[in-house]
Amino acid sequence: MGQSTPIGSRTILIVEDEALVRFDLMDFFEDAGWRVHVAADADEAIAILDDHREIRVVLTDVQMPGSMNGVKLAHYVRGRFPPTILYVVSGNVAIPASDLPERTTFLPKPFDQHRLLRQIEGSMA
Amino acid sequence: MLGSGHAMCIAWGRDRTFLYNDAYIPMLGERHPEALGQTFEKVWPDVWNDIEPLVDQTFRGETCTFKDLPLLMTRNGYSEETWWTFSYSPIRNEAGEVEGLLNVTLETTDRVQAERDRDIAAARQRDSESRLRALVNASSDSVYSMSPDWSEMRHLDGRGFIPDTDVPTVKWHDSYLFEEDVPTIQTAIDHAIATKSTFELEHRVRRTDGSAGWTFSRAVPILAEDGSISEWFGMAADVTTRHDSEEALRSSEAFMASVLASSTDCIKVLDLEGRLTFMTDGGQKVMEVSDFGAIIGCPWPDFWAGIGNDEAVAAIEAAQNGEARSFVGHATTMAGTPKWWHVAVSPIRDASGKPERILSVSRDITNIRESEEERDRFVRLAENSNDFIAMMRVDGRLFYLNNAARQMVGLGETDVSRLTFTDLLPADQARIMVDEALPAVDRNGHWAGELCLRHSSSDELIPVLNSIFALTDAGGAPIGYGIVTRDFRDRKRAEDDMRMMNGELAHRLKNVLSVVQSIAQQTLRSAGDLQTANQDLSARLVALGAATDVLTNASWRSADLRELAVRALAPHGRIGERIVIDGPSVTLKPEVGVALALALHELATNAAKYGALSNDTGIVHLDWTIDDIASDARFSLRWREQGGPPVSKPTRRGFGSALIERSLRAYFGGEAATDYHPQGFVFELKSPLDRAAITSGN
Repeated sequence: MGQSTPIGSRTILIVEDEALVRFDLMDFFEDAGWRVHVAADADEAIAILDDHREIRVVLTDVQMPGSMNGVKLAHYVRGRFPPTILYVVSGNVAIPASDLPERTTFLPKPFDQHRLLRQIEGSMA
Repeated sequence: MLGSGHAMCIAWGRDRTFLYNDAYIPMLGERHPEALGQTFEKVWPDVWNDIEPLVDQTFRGETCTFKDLPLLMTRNGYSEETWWTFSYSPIRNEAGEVEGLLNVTLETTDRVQAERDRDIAAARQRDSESRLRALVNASSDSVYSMSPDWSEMRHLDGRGFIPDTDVPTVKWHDSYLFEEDVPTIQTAIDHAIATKSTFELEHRVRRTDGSAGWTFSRAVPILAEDGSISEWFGMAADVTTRHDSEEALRSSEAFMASVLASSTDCIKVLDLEGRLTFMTDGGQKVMEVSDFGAIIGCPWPDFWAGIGNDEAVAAIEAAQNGEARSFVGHATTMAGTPKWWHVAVSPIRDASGKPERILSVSRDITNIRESEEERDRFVRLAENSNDFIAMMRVDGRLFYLNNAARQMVGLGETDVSRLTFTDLLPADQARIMVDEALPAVDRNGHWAGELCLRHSSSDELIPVLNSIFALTDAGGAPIGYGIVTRDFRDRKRAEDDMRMMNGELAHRLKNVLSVVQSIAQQTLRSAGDLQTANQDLSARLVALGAATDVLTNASWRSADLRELAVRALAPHGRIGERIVIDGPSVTLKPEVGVALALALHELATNAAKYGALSNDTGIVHLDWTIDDIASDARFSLRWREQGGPPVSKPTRRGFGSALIERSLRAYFGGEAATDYHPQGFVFELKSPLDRAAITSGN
C-alpha cells in the first residue's frame, strides 16, 4: 500500500519493556515466519522504524520507561508512517478509541498471540 | 271698789285725787298711807312722766289698757323691776262728762318674770343648737339619727361624702351599705342596742358617686326619762383615704414580706459589727439553717473560710464606710453542702444617711458555676480540637472559629466576624452550602457531606468531611449553625493511594500474567516432551511465585537480593552448604528482581541436572560486588559451580539459557556471559548499579 513498503512484507516491530514478554513475542512471531524487530522503549522503536521502512505492523505496550509511552508512540507512528498497522497493548484500563490514532487496535494484557496473528494476517490479506 | 280683790285706784276730779283699795296697798309700798287723797302726780312722781299722757287720754274719754308695763318701783326700800297690766277707764257723770279715772291693776311681774326666764332659756337653747349646728357644719363628718332599734334612719346629712336622707326611711341599708358588709355592721348595732352603749365601727359605705368608701361611724343612744332608748345620734367620718393608704401600706408590707419570704436568695441583716441579726425564711432554707437561734449574733464573716473570709471582712468594712461590695466565694451551708455564692453587701442607712445596719444578700450560684465550668471545658475542648470547628449566625456571618480551623484555612488571628462561612469556600462549594447543606439543616437539624475548603492565602483546596448542625438558643429558636469539619486530606490521599494501588495491582497482575504466559509458551516451545514441559513449567511458576513473595513483602517496590536468592535457590540445595551466597546488601528494582529470580531458578535447575548440584559434593557459589567508583558504580554478579561432573557445552540452547542471557542482559542493561568451563559452569552479569538496584540516591 505505502510507496516504500513492499506489499506482503511480514515485518513487525514489538515494543515492550518487559524482556520476558518481549522475547516470547519475538519467538512467537519468528516461529510464524515473521521478521521481528524488538525495542524496549519508544526511542529505540523510532530508531528501528527509521532504519526499517519495511515494518508493516507495530505492536506496542503502553507503559514504558523513556520519553514516550505507547499511546504517544502510536500517534507518532500513525503520523510518520501512515499505513502501519497499529496495536496498542496495556495491562492497565482500556484506552478509549478517541485517545488512539485511527486504525489502531487496543489489546488488553495478557492477549492471545495466535488470535492476534490471525487478526494481523487477516488485515493484510 | 274698796272691797275688790283686785287692786284698784281712782283718780278723781280735776286734781286727780288718788284713792285706792286695800288690794292696791302692796303696790304703793311705803307710799301708803300718805298716798291716800294725794294727787296722782304726787303719788307716782317717779313714773308720772310715763303715766301723765295716759291719764290725760283717759280724761278725754278713752280707755287705755297697758299690758306688762314695766315699772321700776321702790316699794320696800329698794328699787325693783315690776310688770303691770292695768286698765285706765273713764268714770262719767250723769251728763256723760268724765269726772274721774278708774285704774284696775294687775301686777304681772311674776308672770313676766317667768316668761322672761323661759325666753332666756329658749334663747339659750337656740344658741346651743346653733352652736351645735355650727360645729356640725364645721366638721366634715356626716351626721345621722336613727330610730331606737336602728330599723329606721330618721335623718342623715351626708356632707357630700354619702347621700343625704331627709325623710325617714327603713331602706337605708340599700342606700348606704354593701350587702356583704351588713351582717358585721348589724352585729355591732345589735351589741350597741343591747348594751345601750356607743356604736362604733369602721365599715364600707356607698359614697355619693356610688363607689365604695370607708367611714368611721360612731353613734350614741339618747335615753328617755324612763331609761329606754329614744333615738341614736351619730356621726360618720370619711376615712376612705386613710383606710386606702392603710390598706396600701398593709398590702405593701405584705408584698415586701412575701417578696422576702419567697426569695431564694439568702437575705440577711447584720449589725454594724457584722453580726447576724436576721435571715429570711428562704435564706435559711438555702443556707440549710435548722435553728436560726443557734447562729444569731454570730459574726457573719466566720461563715467563710480562706479567701472568702478576707472578702467578707473587707465587705463589712466597706459597708461600715457606706460602700456596697460584692464578691464570689465558696462556703458550705450549715448542713455542710459545699456551694458557690455571689454575695452583695451594702449598708442600710438611718434617716440621716449614716450606715446603721448591713444588708447581705447571698445567691447560690453553684449550678451556674458548674455549668460555667462545664461550658469552659467545652470551650477548651473546641479550642484544642484538631478538627475544624466554626459557628456562624443565621445570615452566615462567622462568630467563632477554633485554632485548628484558623490554621487549616490560613486565617491566623484574623478577625472573622466580618467573614461568612462561604468566604472559606470556592464558588461551587459555596453553592452546595447555600442550596443544599443549609436547607437540609433547617429541615432536619443537621447535614453531613464532603466539601472543599479553600486556603485563604494559597488557594489550596482542602477536602473536608463537613458536619453542620443547627444552633438554637435555650428556647429552641435558631441562632445559627455549628460546623465541624474533619480534614479529609489524609483520607483522600489514602483513598487515592488505594485507588492507584488497585489500578497498579491490576496492572501488575496483568503484567505478571503476561510474564506467566511468556514463560509457559517458552517452556512449551523448547521442551522435548509434554512431561518435561509440565515439570519445568511448574518449577518456573514456583520460582516466579517465590520472587513475587519477596516483592509483595516490599510492596512491589524493591527486593532484597540476598532474600531473593535464598528463596529462589533453597528448593535446589542447602543454603550455606551446597549453595554459598555472599555479597553486600543490595536492594533490587522489582522488574529486575523477578527476572533474576527466574534466572537463578534456571541456573540452579541446570546445576541440578548437569552441574555441581547433580552429585553429592558439588558446590555453587553465588556472590556479587559493587564497585563504587565515583558516579559510575557497577554491579557484578557471579554464579560459579565447583565439584560437579565435567562440563560440556549443551548442543541445544533451551529456554533457561536464553532467559538467563537474553533477559538479564535486557533487564540489567549490561553484559551477561556464560562459560562452560571444564571445572565448572560460570555465569557472570555486569551492569550499571543504577539499572539493577535502588541506590541511596533513588
